[in-house]
Amino acid sequence: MKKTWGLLAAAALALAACGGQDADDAGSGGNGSGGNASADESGPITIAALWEVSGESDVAVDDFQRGAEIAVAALNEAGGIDGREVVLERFAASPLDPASTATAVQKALDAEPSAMVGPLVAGQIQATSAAIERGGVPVIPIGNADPTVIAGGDSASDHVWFVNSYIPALVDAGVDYLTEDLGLTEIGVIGTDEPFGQTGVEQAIASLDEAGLEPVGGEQLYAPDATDLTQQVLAVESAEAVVNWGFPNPIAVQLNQLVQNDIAIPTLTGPSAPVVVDNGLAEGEAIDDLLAVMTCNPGVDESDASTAFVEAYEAEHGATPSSNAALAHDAVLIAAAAISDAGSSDPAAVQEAMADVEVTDGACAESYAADEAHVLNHQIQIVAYAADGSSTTEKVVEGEPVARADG
Amino acid sequence: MTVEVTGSATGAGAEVAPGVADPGRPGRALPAWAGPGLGRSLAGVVAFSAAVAVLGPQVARGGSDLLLMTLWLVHIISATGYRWVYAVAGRFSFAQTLMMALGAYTSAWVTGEMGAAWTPVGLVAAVAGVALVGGAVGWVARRSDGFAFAIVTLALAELGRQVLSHTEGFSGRNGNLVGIEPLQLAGRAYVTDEDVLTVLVWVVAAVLALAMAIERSPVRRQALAARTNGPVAAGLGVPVERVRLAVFVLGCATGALAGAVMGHWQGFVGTDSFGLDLAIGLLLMVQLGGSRTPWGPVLGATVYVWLPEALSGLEEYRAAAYGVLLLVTVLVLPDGLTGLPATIRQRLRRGSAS
Amino acid sequence: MARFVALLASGIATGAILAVVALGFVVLHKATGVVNFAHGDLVTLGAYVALWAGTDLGLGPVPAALLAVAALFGVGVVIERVAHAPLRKRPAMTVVVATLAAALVLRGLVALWQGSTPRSLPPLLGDGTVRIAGAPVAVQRIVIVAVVAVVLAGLAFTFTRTSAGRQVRALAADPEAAQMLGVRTRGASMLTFGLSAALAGLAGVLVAPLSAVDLGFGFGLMVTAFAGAVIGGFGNLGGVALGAAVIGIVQQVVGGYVLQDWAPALPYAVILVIVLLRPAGVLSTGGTRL
Repeated sequence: MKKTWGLLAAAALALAACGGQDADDAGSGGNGSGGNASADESGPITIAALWEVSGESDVAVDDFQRGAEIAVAALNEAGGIDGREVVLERFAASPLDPASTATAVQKALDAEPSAMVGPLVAGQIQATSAAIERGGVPVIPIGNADPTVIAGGDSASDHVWFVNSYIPALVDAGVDYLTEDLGLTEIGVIGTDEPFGQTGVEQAIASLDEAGLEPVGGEQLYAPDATDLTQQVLAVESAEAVVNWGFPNPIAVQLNQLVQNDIAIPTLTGPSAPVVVDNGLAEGEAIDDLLAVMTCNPGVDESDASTAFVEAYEAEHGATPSSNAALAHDAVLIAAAAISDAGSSDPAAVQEAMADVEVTDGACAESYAADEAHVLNHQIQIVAYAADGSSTTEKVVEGEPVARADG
Repeated sequence: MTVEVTGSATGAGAEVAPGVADPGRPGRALPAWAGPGLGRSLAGVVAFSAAVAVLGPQVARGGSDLLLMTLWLVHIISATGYRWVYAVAGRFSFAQTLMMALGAYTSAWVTGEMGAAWTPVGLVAAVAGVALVGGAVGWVARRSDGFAFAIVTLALAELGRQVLSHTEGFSGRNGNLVGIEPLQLAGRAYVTDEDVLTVLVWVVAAVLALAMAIERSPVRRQALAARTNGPVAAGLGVPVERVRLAVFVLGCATGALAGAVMGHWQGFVGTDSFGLDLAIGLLLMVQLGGSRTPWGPVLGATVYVWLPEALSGLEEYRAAAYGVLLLVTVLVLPDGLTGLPATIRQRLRRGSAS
Repeated sequence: MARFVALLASGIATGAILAVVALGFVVLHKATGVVNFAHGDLVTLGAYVALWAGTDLGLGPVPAALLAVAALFGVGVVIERVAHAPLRKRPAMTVVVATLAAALVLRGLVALWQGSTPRSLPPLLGDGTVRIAGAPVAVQRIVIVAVVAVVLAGLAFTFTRTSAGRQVRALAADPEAAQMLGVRTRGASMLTFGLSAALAGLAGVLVAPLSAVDLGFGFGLMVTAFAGAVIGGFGNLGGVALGAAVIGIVQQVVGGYVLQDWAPALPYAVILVIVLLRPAGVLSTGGTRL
């Protein structure tokens, strides 16, 4: 009996050895054929989307899919890309879960797209940059560019191109606004204790340092799920303004606690501000002194492309689009422009075309063109909110091209 | 009353009293293919691994199938390790993901400092280092039982996560370590999912073979005795604490191996990859697969990796549907999927008796 | 001084919230042996029910909160029937996994029902502040402490003076003996689940106005509340309440003066220190078998 099993095992081993050999051959043969369907230059063009829709995870919202769908519908209505229909195929990639993103990227590659839009946060790109590089398909994430993922960064892929602005550029423009335009010198710096907040806080302190200033109360980080920021608020009590780089929920906590403590100083934050205001997480007096540095503000921005997008979105979904929806829309436009410039749906050709692509009818930024760090978006605005939730553009800054991280 | 989570004779004891460990009724509670006989079990492991190695790349319809298969193999290792911690040593630990993360950072650090050729050293360092950490945790909390141990390890895991994401160097910036060298063994680098799969399948074979051997050794019986009735076992001369600690350490070290392999495979380790979600995932894998046989974690990992895929068409209903399916499985399959044949037999017997 | 008072007030309010979460958890664990990992998601659900009652039914904050607490009692009873009663004879670990699955179901259903953008729940009695020793303290924080004090007193009364409470206590002390003495374990078990879930819902409606409601907020709260339960010895209710208060104050006051960057880690550090000091385990009061 024992002997039979031993023989069986030996046979299985031998089988595995040859099987492994076969598989290796098949693998190396298959590697070069990344763009089979795309090489067929007549059928529909696939753009893969790497994000979730509401309900798929704790933080999933529909903004991205809705914005991208509007862009695809408009493209197809105008006859597609060089007469070919555009198809958006979505793969759920959770910003909370690197493993799900890796699977989604691989599935998207299996669908042989010409380009990908998404994912949402830098951590997802870090986790998948090697797979993206091997896949050879250009990827346009929606989240902000940060120093680790721009071209030349520790975990960058040359196939990643950013439709959204560069975090340090945003923070620097915001701090400059406080110190130069408002002439403030006593500025506190706080932020969420995770990569997004940490990157912002580091840059804010560096920008203050450039102006010869130090943050009031030192650097203050708090948990992303904090429900009480008394300590951080009291630490910046004597400041003239506070920079809070973090997630919407704790920013709302901080804004409310400033009011409760009778501290009437401006708070400068980033793309979280519209989430706080639009969802009523903080209201009235609490948002009267709220400043936000962001790339665009749909509904307030006045360019033709932006207003047209807002109209289309409102007609479809009955709500004003977020900047995320506008960015997802623009990511599709950029991918389409690169495919058109390349004159081919082959991802390698599209990747090459990305370096020189120009889009001038964006719903978020008015124009997109890549710098050497692969950041396409250099539009920065300082937005001021009022107690009734309305907002006005205080200042528009044309950001500098970002240098390669290894340059 | 039996508030203690793992210690009650009527509760957890019933769950783990295995046919093979009980000479009175050999193999009865277990399916035939997992019955006694180490040779047969080992042959089963070899046959399984060979089948995966041969058929895996054949049935894969694309890169994502290969990726999921590789992930599945990694999780067979993680879940096997956690089965030792949770079902054999009886330690309801939430720190297993921390052990996996430490393993991943350690091996990545060694290969980062010394070069990819040092992968085997990195893996050994990960396993040995985490064995030490696991030993320290198991020893310090040796008297915290059941749910108290769960809370202690939950605290440890959270604290560990915060330390790793605050310190640079060893764990990278903000706990995200990138650009990890791919696995390199005997001068060959294993980069693509398919390459990694061909190596992992034999790592899985080795881990499962070890599981089979332990299953039939006195160690397991002693650990179970220590678990179900510590004082009595101690009175009978079983070195209760040492056996239990050894199995716990083995489980932690196996988790470290899984984490290290995962890091080299993906080229990336982040504290997010080893959070509470995965800790709960490990628990589900062991419980769903069934903790009575080493095949349980294999089935559990299968469900954990592929069930969400099977449900992906449900889009926004997926999360709720996943939960409902898990709940139903727990309700109708007390011993997990590997216990299914026994459960059916029991139902049938009860049916014919009435 | 004003700063210390402000931090202390925050700490006490945080502690009070943690106490309600921890108590709901411990009451259930004591009476039924169940470790309910869905407890955090019940906290979340409570906040969402109040939110729904306020926006869709147009109720004021206080009636909405009361409705949420009552609804959660019902949810607790349903969970007892669906996920606990069929498992009563099963190993405790199986029940733990069932509660984890129940948590996933709850969270998935809330996501379908209310979506996942963060929302805001209005404070129970307006968003004013009062000054205590020169430090401004939000009315909501005072409401929290007052409500929790009343609830604690009510619980103590229920468990010692009412027949239902005594039955639950009997069940906690020795389920088999309780059954022999005529305690209807089924009723007592349903009552305990309902009470535990109602406490979770209460915590949800109290804490949500301080921040924002999203799908994950209750789970994090539950994990921190464990620390309070551990300090309190997991056994008597007063100890748990005190332990939770200590955690809140340590987090705010110690985190406010030193170790600012590490404030979120403090509860976990406290747990580890306690286990090192009391290696026999703080569960020893309720967990011994021999």
